[in-house]
This record gives sequence, C-alpha cells and structure tokens, in this order.
Amino acid sequence: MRAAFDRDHEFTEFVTTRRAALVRVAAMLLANDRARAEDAVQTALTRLYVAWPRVRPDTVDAYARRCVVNAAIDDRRSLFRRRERLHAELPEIAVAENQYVDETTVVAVLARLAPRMRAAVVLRYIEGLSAVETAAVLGCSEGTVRSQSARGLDRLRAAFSEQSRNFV
Amino acid sequence: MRDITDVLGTLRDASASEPVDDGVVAADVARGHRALILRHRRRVVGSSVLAAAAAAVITASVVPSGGDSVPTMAIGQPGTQQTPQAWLAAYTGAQPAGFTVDAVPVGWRVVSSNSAEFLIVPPGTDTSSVVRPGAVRLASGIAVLLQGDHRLPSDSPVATVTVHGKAAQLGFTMDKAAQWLIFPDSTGHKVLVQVPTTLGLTTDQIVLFADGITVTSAAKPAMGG
Repeated sequence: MRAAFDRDHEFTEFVTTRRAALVRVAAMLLANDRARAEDAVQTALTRLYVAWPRVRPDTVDAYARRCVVNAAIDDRRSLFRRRERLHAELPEIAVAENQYVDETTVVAVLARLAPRMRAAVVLRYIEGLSAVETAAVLGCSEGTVRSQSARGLDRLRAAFSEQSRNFV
Repeated sequence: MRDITDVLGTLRDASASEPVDDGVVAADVARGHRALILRHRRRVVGSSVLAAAAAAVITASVVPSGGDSVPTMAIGQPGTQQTPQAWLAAYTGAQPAGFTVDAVPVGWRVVSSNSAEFLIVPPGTDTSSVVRPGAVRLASGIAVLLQGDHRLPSDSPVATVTVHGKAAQLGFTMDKAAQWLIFPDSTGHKVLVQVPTTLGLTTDQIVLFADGITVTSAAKPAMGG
C-alpha cells in the first residue's frame, strides 16, 4: 500500500500525462461526445483518487482505463436505455467503390456495438493494447477479449457494403 | 480501400495527446479530496453509532472505585491507525463568523470561534493552557485564521500541496513546534491552519481538514497576526 502523503503528487503526475488518452478512450466509447467523455473521465479519476493508496503503481494505467470504461458504460445505460437500440446485425452502410472508410463513419458505426464489445475493439485497435492488457482492463479472460474484439471487427466490416470491403 | 483495423489505428493518431491545463488537473484533485471527505463522513456516521453503543457497554461494565470518573472511549485520536479521512466528522456546531468549517476531528472541542479565528482541541485538553495564536503558539489544538503577517521560515523546507484545487504551502514554524498550512481561498484571502507537531497528523489529514474550510466576508485578521 502506497504512502498516503504521496497521493496528491503521484496522482497529479499521472493525470497530467494520461488524462488526454483517457478522454480519447471515453470519447470512442461514447460516440465521440466530448462533453459526456469529460464527465466519464472526471468520474473515473475521482474513483481512482479515492482508491489510490490501494492501487499498485504497475497497474494504475489499467485501473484508470477500467474506471473510464465502467463510467462510460454506466453513462450509456443511464441516458440511453430507452432510446438506444443495439443491433444484432448492423445495418449496411453504402460506400462508393472508390471511397475510403472515413473515421467519422467508423465512430458512428462503432457506437452501435454492444458496450463491452465496443470497449474491446476500442482498447485493442484504437488504444493498441494487447489481448492480455485489454482483459485486465475489462476484468475478463483473454479468450473473451479475443472473441469479443473479433466479432466486433466482423460486425464493423459487415456494416460496409460488399464492394468496398478489403478482404485481408 | 483500407481495412477497418487500419482506420481504427488512425483514430488514435488523429487524437494525439493534447496538453492538459494545470487548472483541469487541480480540479480533478479537488474532486478527489471532496470524495474522500464524503466517504469518511458516511463511515463516521456508521462508526459513531457503533462507537456510542460500545462506549455504553464499556461504561456500564466498569465499576469506579472511590468516586473516580468513568473512563470514556477515546475515538478519532490523531496518529492512530485510522485512514486519514476517518478522523474527521461533519461539523454541526455554530459556524464561526469568519469561516465556514465543514468537518472537524471526531470528539474535538471548539475553544474559540469568531471572525478572526477558529480553535479546536482534542478531547481531555486542559484549556487553561490554550493561548491565542499570533502571540503565543497554541500548544494543544488546531487553529484556523487569516494568514496576516505570518510567514513560513525562509530556510525551512516547504511542501506544495493542493487545497480547494489550488497550490498551498505546508511547512514547519521556526521552532518546529507546529506546521502551518497556508492556502488561498476563492475570495483571494490566504488562510493559515496551524497544527501542533505533537498531534502527529499526516499531510493528508491536514489537507483534508483544510479542504473543508472557506472564508466568509466577515473574516478579519487575528490580533497579532
């Protein structure tokens, strides 16, 4: 357990270097809504501050990301439970044959994935975490992360029209 | 045509780290402080009910001899193994004219409360030995007053802490008998919290206490300060 008197100094250092990345994660989880992302990050950092003496230095990043993911998922549940309809099959989005898949479209389609599937895709392919690191953030097994992120990618790819898909 | 994984990767690059404003970080720290205070208040409400019940049991089971006073259970003593936030309880007494006090150490007594100062002492303190700060140091308790002419010694190490989201200074007095925490409040006043070294309070405990203090428009400098 870390010394309590170091808390302010260490927490300030962490927030200064990692806050922007946490806001980015929250924004990707919340359809790029910066205001809600900021709310989620503030909630997450408050929880992190309270728990600070109990968090090991080598896991504080994963802990902070987990707080952000949970805060973002809680945000979606509380505000959009009635309005949001998750699609088992994402509706196809027609893309012209020569058009690139643009970021705005991807973010919009990403927002339609189930919360934890979206979190797996965001952490693995936007944040660049490994499956093991992602599992630590989400509090699940590595196998679950791999299947969730693979299915998430499949659904994202399937959302674009047949002629624009690039088979890897 | 790029694969979806390539596009996802560029989303990270597109939002490269932006510099964070110091005020934003300070606000995050301030929110953390408030969350700690709220949490300890909830715990104290629950623990004081248990403590009162336990004290009643102890009181009932001790048989005084020769008219000795019944021992009471001390709670909230500084320097114990309680977490920093557990030693404060919501202050429900009369507010001093010069300050607003959110929380005080559990079981402590108010010795002086006016527009110039707020003085509190631990349970069992002989208040005949308490003198006003500014002239002679308050040996036993915590004093809250406007900074006035008080300054931390220039040759003494000073730690920077955060109170109300702003930088504050924490250091020892010349004779090392007390620590002074000097912080700005939102109205531009500088507040001084004096804590005798003998109390053994941690930095976290002192900062948590100070976080619950604000200055009112009626505040005025203490005599000699």
